Amino acid sequence: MSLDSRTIKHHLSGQGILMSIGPICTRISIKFPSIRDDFLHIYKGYSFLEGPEITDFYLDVYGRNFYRRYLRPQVAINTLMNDNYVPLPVSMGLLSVEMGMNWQMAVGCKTHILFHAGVLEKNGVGLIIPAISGSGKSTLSAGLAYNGWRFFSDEFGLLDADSGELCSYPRPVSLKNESISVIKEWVGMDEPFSREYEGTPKGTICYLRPPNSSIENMHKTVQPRVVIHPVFNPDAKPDIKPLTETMAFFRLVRSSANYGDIGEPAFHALAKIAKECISCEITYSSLEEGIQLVNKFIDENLP
Amino acid sequence: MMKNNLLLKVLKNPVTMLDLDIKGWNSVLFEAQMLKLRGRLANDASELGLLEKLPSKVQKIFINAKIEAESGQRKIMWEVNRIRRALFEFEEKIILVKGSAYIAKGLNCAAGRTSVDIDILVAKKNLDIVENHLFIAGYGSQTMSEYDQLYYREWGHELPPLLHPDRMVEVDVHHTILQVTNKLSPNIDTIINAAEQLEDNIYLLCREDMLLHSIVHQFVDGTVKASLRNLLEQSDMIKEFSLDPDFWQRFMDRAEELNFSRPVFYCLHYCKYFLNTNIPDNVMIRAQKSAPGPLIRKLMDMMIFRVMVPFGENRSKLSDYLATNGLYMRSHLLRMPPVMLATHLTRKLYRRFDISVRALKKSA
Repeated sequence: MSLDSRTIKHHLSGQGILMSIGPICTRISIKFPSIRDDFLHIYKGYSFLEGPEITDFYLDVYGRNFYRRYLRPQVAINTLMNDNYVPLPVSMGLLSVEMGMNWQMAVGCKTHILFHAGVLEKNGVGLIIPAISGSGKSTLSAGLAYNGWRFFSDEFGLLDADSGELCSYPRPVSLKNESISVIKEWVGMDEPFSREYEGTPKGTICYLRPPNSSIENMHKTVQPRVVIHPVFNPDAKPDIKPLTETMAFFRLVRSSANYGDIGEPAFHALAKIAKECISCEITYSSLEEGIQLVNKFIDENLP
Repeated sequence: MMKNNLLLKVLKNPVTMLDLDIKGWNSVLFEAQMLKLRGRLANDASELGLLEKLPSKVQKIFINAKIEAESGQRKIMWEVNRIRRALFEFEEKIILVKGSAYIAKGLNCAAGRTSVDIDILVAKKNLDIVENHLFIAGYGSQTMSEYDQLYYREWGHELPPLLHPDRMVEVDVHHTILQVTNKLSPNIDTIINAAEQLEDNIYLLCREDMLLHSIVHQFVDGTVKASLRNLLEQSDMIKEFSLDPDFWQRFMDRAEELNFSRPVFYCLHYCKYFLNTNIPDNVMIRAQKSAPGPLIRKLMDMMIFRVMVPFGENRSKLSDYLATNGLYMRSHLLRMPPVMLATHLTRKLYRRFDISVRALKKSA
């Protein structure tokens, strides 16, 4: 089923190429050659289809007019979903692509319960790491992904409300500022990283492709067993604070983007997780410490 | 040419969904996404028991669209509740118009409809009171220039959009249904007087006015581009309201009274053309009397056929562009007298220029 890179490039620059990640199929077209190269590097090994296939989302990355395409180029995106993104310079083009896909998930996905969370799996144990931006969720997810865990997501945890299982949606990890060098050292090779995009509204951003095995197994689901809320604090002592069922429930509600849209099925699904999973909050001051705490909590508490 | 459009075919006769291949589905779903009609298709499919027979991927997309529409409607009705609470001391009519009214009344055209904002109509003399009550309840006006505020208040038909920071659902408070400078702008008192009570101080337009409002919104004031959804809602209302045998008589009389016969002609003409809406011959004959001359009519046909469903393969980009902009200019010319329009556009142009100059200076 895999297409050669020339065919992919050809479709990507024209009508669009179909990219299937987990349960979502997106048609993407990119009009700027430099962004296409960045895109194809970070999405190497993903499943591209020639079609025809029924498509969930459409993403166009283009220049608004001749002036914005060639003379003073600026990247605009069209997600077909009332987005209102400010065009970016071409040098930051990959950010536009990622922002567009994130927006489509955040606004358009109602078939799965969406957590703003990292999700990983090891030995059949599904781990949810819900957190707000800046708590080290992406860093911790990337660290675990390159430490024996199967990577599902660092941003959008997807839960199927009917089966109660987590679906994998392994998009590249978005690393920011200090965490870039930490993870580069952790991974130990440069190949899976994108360029570093400096001067963005969130500082420097660098993307990391998940391990190949995570991409290849993106259609395997897992039962959630553990929920860990990370708090990164460089000056704090390592700490594990177990959460009561009630607290676990409300924390999950808070981290879900479409809980209110889905309504009752979402309530039951989250109540089930709060009841059946072990939940805690960890405070950690370094990536290594964070991973130790995750393993410790699981080893000591999972029956 | 537009008549062969797959989306139109499916909307007219949802059972034809069963015949679509993958390519057909992609074209229908894409256009439905652009025109905000996925929820509508999903609703048609499940109402006719077709959902289980569709490809599984389409089922998922339709379930997605249904959840979206339902939660959107919940949010709208909750916002109506919040508005009622903010205005509980206000004893005059608060009239819901457009989407929220269809939802509140449970009209067929509301099924699967995604609404994102709320429009309410109040008498002009009460505008300040209503606005004040809403401010006290925490609603805020989005920051805008003095000129914008003035433009809305003096010439517009609504206040600058209000928003409650906790819920972010836009609330538009209207005092009439067309720009006051529009020469078709009606005597709003007759419309407000005819409004019917829903609950307490919440009212809805009477059926005839509800349909007329949708029509003038589309064919006089709005952009016609990609407005198939509005035409569809008119067609639905016609189907639903005309079950009452007296409806047509009342409706056509009301259109004449409010001087809306021309836009009504457009509505009936295009409903018939695009959606095969069943309109009795005598009504059509009466409406024809208000049709424009042959030249204008030809021109409108040419433009409307192009922009109502503005996609598809083998389309000439230039003529689509001309049609879209022609209709855009038309709506502006109708909106205010030419001199006023020129002043307004000059101001807007100047501001645009001013902003880019400032941006340049800043970057330098």
